[in-house]
Amino acid sequence: MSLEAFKTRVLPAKDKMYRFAQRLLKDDEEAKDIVQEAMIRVWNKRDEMHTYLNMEAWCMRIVRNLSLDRIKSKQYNSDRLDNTYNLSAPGKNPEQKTEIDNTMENIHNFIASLPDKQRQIMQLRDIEGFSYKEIGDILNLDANNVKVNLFRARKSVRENLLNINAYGLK
Amino acid sequence: MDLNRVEILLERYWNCVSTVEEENELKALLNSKDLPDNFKESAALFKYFELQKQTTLDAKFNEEIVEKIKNQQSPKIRKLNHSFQNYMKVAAAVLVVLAASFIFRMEYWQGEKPKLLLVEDTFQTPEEAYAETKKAFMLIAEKMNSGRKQAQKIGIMNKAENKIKKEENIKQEKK
Repeated sequence: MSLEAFKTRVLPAKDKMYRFAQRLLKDDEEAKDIVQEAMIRVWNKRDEMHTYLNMEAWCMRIVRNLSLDRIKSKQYNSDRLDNTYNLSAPGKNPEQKTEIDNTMENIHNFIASLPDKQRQIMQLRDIEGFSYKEIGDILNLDANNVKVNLFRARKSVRENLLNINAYGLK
Repeated sequence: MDLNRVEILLERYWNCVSTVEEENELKALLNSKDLPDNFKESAALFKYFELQKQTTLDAKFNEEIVEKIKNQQSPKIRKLNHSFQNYMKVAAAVLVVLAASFIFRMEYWQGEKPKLLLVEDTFQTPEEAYAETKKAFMLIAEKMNSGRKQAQKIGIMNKAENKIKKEENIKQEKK
């Protein structure tokens, strides 16, 4: 694969890779570092690239493996503060903005509290838009397992949303 | 806005039977302004997903990666380097063995003196050797004599036994 092909086929996946690493490591700089490492690894293995049907899924898998290795090697604190939520809703008045921000934060915290597998699957499906097959390839799970975990995650999130609606913001 | 469609797609979404395309359609529908309040919490969830997508790497990242890749050696060259290193290791090992055997052989030939097929003397003068040999023979003779005295005693016993046997034979013949 030429450098030009790398730029058009691999580099566009960088944001998905970054968000995934960020969720796993809960650290922006570490996540960026992992994406760089993954990109270089992909480039060094470009000769065997044709054997992988889905380039993005392959890149995501590398990111996951590298992130898990990093977590193991550094004995990451699993209670590390997840501060990836720093977004505010644009174009609203301050009151609406605060309400939306609170709701977003609530959803964010709830999803962050889900079991690892459910959280990763939900991110890969609902944020990154991967198919069940692709998620299975990334996480090394079969498609049914992916579906079962996603169902549980969505069910929990739905119940949490209904609670917000019934009792107001938490 | 087709609320029935939203309802159907949401139900499919919660039951994990919707396709990626249907989920994208649902996102677009829930993003509309005239959405009834009963869809508010679902809309908030999809809004959250959209906001998460805004977390991106900066534009400099691409340049940095391309620069790093350009500076990297190609895998083929790296493979060659790797095999070259292995060959060098083997060559170094062979060299060490050859050097060791060469040094050993040198030491061996230098250290070895030509040996004559003669028994080396243990005494300085023949007289000394004679005296020592004589001493040794005397010791042997002394030991042999003491052995002989013991053997003589056994001989007397044999003679006595033979004598008794002869006398018994004579007596039997007379009868």
